[in-house]
Formats: sequence, C-alpha cells, structure tokens
Amino acid sequence: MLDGEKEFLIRAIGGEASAFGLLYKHYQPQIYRFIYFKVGLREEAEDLTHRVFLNAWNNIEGYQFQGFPFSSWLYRIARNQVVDHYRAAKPNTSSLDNVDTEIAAPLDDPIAAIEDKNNLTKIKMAISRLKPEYQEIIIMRFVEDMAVKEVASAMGKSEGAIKILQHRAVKSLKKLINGSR
Amino acid sequence: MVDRDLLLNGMNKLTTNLKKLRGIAPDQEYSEQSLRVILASKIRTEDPGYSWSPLMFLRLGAVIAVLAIIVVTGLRFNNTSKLSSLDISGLKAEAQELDVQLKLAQATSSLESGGIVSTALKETAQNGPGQLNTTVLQKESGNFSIPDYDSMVNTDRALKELTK
Repeated sequence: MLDGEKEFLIRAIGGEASAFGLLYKHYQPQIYRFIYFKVGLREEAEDLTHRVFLNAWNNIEGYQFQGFPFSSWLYRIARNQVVDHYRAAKPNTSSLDNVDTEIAAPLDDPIAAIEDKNNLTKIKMAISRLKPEYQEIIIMRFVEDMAVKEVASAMGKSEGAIKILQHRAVKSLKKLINGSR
Repeated sequence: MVDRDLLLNGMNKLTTNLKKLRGIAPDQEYSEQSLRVILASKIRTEDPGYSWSPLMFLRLGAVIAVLAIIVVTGLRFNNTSKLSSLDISGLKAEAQELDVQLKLAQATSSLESGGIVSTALKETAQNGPGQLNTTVLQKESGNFSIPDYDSMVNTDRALKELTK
C-alpha cells in the first residue's frame, strides 16, 4: 500500500489529477503485469492497462475507501477488462512462447543469467496455462506479494477461499513445471 | 536441469523465482503517454466548452429558476410597498364623500314623494267631502292598500325636512 494513499485518494476523488498520477505510477506496473500474464501479449496488455486506469479515473468519484489498498479496486477493474477482452476476441494462449523474458538478469554470471532466464520463461509459460483464478492467485500472492486479505478483496472471495485456491494453484503450477521437463 | 532445481528446492525456490517476475514492467514511454491521455480525457469531459451537454441544460435551468425567483420576489416586494404607502385618511375621506352622496340621493327621492303627497292633499281639499263618499271609498280601497304606520311617519319626517 502506498504511503499516504488515503490522502492521495481523497485528492484524486476531488478531481486532483496529480494525486491520481501518483497512484497511477505506483500501481500501473503491477496491473500491467497482472494483465500481461493473462493475455500474453505486450501490446494487448498495454492497451488493457490503459483502459483500466482510464476507467478508474473516470469513475473515481464512486470509489469508497473501505480499508483495502486502492489496488484491490484496480484489480477488480482489470479482471473485468480481461473478461471483456476474451469475450470480444479469441485469446492467443501460446503468445508467451514468442515473448522474451524481460527480466534484468545479473551480468556478473552470464551462464547463471541464461539459466535464470530459461527458468523464468518456463514459469511464465506454466502460469499462462493455469486456470484464470489460479493465475490471479499466483500473480497476486507470489509475484506481487499481496496479503491474503487484499487478494480476497480484489477477487471478491473470502480469505478461506483464497487460501484453498492458493494451495490448488501452487500444486497445479508445480505440476505444469514438472510436466514441461 | 532448471526443473530439477525447482523440485529440489521446493516451494521456496518457486516463490523466489516468481518474485523475479516482478521485473516485467511496461515501457516507460508508453506509461507516460498513457497517463497524459487518461488525465486529459477527464479534463475534456469536465470542460463545458460550447456543446449542449445534459449538464449545460441543468445549469441553464438553474439560472432561469433563479431569475424567475428574483423577478417574482421583486414584484411581490413592489406590491407590498404600494400597499404600505396607502393613504388611510384619504380613503376615509372618500368613504365619507360616498356616504354624503347616498344621503343626497335619499333626499331627492323624499322630495319627489313629498310632491306627490302634497298634490293629493290639495285635490282632497278642492273636491271637498265628496271624496269621503263611502261608495267611492270602498271602490278605491279595493285598488289601493292603506300605507302602514311606519311609512306614514317617514312621510311626515320627509315633509318636515322639506319645510326646513
């Protein structure tokens, strides 16, 4: 959660563009990643991320602070945006195969860097093959390191349901990674 | 080989690798451009411009309503000030003048009726007691009603006023 987030939110709700700009800069990368793992293409992820924040800014007057980070609301918008995207167009599930891993690898050990890159590419591919709910759990809990409570709010489920889903998601992910040997 | 490592190190290794995926980030230039477009879109929406949006109609309606209230209030105030400036003594004088005119009209009426009565009295005096013939009286009494006491008193009063 961003320091002073409530203050920024109040100002953004009041129409202060700079306050929304700060929230955008803080949350945009993680919303982009969330969408990217689900759609698999950079251009589509950028377009959908743009729509999420456009939607958020145009409807921010309706946002009610309930103790959860602003990201919970953004994730909900992002999930709906992805669902709409899949309704409108046939998804390309294999698109991640052609995308280079964009992670900064350590330069001091080139061999380790290559291994790391391959490793992460396989994880990315495994995530892309997960069920949508499992994808969301893995991204929010392990990539973004969000609390169970926060994920529950973003996904509209109870904390208990999130813990069960998390267990199943990790099991499925391990199975996919092992199966890709 | 990578998969074997993942299996050996178990969950910790997996979670460590998953955290590394946080390095995936959107293009900086795209991010800045996107933010500019997002913020500009709302400024355009809020700018009233020259288009007749529903909000403009609401604003125009509010302005008309305020003007109507001002006009109505102004007219009421004007009427109230007219009433407050009424001359009560003038009105009383007018009322009294009306009363005097009514009395004059009554007096004229009394004079006319008085004239008729005096003619009748003269005729009686000239024709003598023949007028008291019982046959004639009976004949005439069938056509005329005898005036009551009050009207006779009034007639007397009218005559007195005439003599004054």
